[in-house]
Amino acid sequence: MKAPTLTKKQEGSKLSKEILGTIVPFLGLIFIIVFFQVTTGGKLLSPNNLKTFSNYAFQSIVPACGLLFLMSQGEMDFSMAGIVCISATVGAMVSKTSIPMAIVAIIATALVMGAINGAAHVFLRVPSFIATMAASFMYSGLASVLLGGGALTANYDFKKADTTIFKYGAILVIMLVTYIVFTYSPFGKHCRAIGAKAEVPFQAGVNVKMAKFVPFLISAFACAILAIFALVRSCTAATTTGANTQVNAMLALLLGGVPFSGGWNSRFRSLIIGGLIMAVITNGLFLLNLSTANQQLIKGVIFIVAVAISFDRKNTAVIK
Amino acid sequence: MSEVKEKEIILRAEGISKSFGPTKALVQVSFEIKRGEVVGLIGENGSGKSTFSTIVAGIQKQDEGQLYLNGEPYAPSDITDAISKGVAMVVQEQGTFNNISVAANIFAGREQQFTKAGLLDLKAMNAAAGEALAKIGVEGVNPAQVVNAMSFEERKLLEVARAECAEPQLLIIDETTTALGREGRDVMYRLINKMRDGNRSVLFISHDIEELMAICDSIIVLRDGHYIGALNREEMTVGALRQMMVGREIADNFYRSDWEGRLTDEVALSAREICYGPMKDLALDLHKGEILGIGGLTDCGMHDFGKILFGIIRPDYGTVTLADGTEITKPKQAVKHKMAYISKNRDTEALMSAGSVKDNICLPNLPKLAKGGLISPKAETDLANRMGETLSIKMQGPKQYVMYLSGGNKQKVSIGKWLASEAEIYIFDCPTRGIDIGVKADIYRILTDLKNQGKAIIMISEELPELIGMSDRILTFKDGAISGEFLRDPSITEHTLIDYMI
Repeated sequence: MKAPTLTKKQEGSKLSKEILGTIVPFLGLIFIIVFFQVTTGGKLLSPNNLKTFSNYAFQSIVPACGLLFLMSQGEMDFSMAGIVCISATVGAMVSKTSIPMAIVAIIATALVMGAINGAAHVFLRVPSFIATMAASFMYSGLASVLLGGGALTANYDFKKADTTIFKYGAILVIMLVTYIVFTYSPFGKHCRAIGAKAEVPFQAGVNVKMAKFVPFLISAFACAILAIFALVRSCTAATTTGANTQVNAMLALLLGGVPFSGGWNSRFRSLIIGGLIMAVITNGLFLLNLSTANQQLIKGVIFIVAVAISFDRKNTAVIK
Repeated sequence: MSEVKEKEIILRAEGISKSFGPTKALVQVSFEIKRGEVVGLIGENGSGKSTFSTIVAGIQKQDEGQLYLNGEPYAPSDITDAISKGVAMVVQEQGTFNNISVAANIFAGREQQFTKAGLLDLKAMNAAAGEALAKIGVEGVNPAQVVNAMSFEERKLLEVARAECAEPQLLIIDETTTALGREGRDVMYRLINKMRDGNRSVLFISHDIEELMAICDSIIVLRDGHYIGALNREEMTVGALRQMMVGREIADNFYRSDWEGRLTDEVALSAREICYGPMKDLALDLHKGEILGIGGLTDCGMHDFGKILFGIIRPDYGTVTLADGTEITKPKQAVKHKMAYISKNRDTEALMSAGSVKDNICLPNLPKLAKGGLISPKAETDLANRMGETLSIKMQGPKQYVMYLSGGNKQKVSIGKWLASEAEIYIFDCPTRGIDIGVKADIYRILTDLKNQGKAIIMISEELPELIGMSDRILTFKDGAISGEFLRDPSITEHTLIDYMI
């Protein structure tokens, strides 16, 4: 069937836009790998870099897995950094008694924060980006109080898990679970349906409130994993722990082509490509010995370009 | 007007063709529109009506052929160009901008006329907008108000005001009246008559044969992109038009052919003491094997009542219960107990237009499709293909996005998702709104099939012939109350019902 109000030109640009959304991130990944491989003099793809790369991959892919469900609904979590920080702090404190208890405490703390975010958005009906931004102040404030402005050392036994194999293994497991739940479960589909048009799943009998609440718990759970990871790497919780978590997650998803507005164009493969691009960029910038200021400058430019390509303009009210 | 002027041709189309990939939307279409004439354009979905009118309005370009306006070759580069040449269009879909005022919508793109030293004179623009609305006979709309809260109908009228503001010589109205209630339609008809009196022309596209016959001087019929013919006032009959549109005689079994009443006395769904808005103490029983028609004016409360029955709206007071006593308070519960609701707002409530046919059809059926908590892509595709076949949905495949389907096929998708759920109770709100007779006949057939399977069906409709033709029982609504009840009978006429509705 034809689309009567769409001109050929518009249809063409729509099509090429879709192709852009699929191919550009992939070409981007290849370009970035080649670019950094050359500029770092082959350091990027060397066995020596494997361990360093695992850290960057962890920090971009795991939060992206957490944020995917929210972003597919067109929602956002700006409090991820705060959640990582506060649950790492709690974990460091409890780890003095026992590590398993510390892990339970980290997950519990994070889930409580996630529940607060979800409740503020779903029940108080505050837009998610405002609710979570406000909450992020609360969480980092609370973490600072607990840390007394300094840093807390955790049980050094955490260090035992700091192996490359363990980290890659964890990334793979988390990705696999996310992939299955997001792509094949009714819940994952409900998330995308809500992103497409929330009234439709509501009238189709989906418990929309629940489906909007749970993704906040998922993003918080990803934060808990990142908090554990932070303790494993450095055995320390500080005010800077978890910094930039949501930026990493958001960038990874946007770079991979998940539209800001969510919906059925949100795909898991975007997460893999975007997560890898992010990891390669941050790893590459580190290998280039760039200053933090320069690193941020470059990240900012990449962010703007990614949004320009992926932002779904058809959801803004324009006459076709 | 002089005789010569009356015969003057305003628009001539010569051999217009247009294809979308393999689909030929228009094939060598040629005809003329004279000055001071109201010309109807009718055809099934996909017959090329909208394609033709959007080409004339400058929204898209033909592949072949030439248009002439006032005898001069006419090839508008875009909508603004078309407007400046005297051709304006009111589109089928919603064409207003959210988050800005009524006045800003009316003068979108023409703000310069109110600009002084680079600043917009809002007062002048609002005043002019008020005048523009008054000119087409719309009252009670504040030009400074933001459009978001306005109903679809009010927005449509706003678009009409915008088109009229440009004082076009040729006004194209695409399927607009389907979205309008009685008052809105009157506004539109007055405007059309004014255009005719001012020796200007109107190209009016509608699915409603009776409406076209009432207001048009001639009607042009398109079928599968071909020009089939034109009928003038003397030649117009419903039968002739239908036959030209479909290419075969379908008038005979258009509605149900039997005049028997409902099949059983078994109650499927009851509403008691419902109070909400204008509704006071409403009650009804829906029986298995019956099509219960509910008719009334747009704002009589029947559309909200349909939502209350499905739990989408919580009434201020009262209950909706199933035969087993289960109370329905949420759509989730309704779906679980095999109920289905098809909203009249197809594009905003019933379908995810930026989603595939498959995703839309599967949405209410995901729990059923899931095995071990997960859904296989094959199960989804199979279901979508099965529904596509059962309902003969014209689509490229289950992965095609719903936004690229025609109106009738969109409606089939929205019915398909509930047929797939094997619901027992169906609430159809305006099931044939904005749909041509070919698909209409399909939908009536589906309704009859469902009835014969013993399902309970509520059909809320603003179209009286459809209520009379399809219902076992009709309830008329007036100001939130049930004003009459009629059992299926060939003697019921539209006038009988209208008396109870107004």
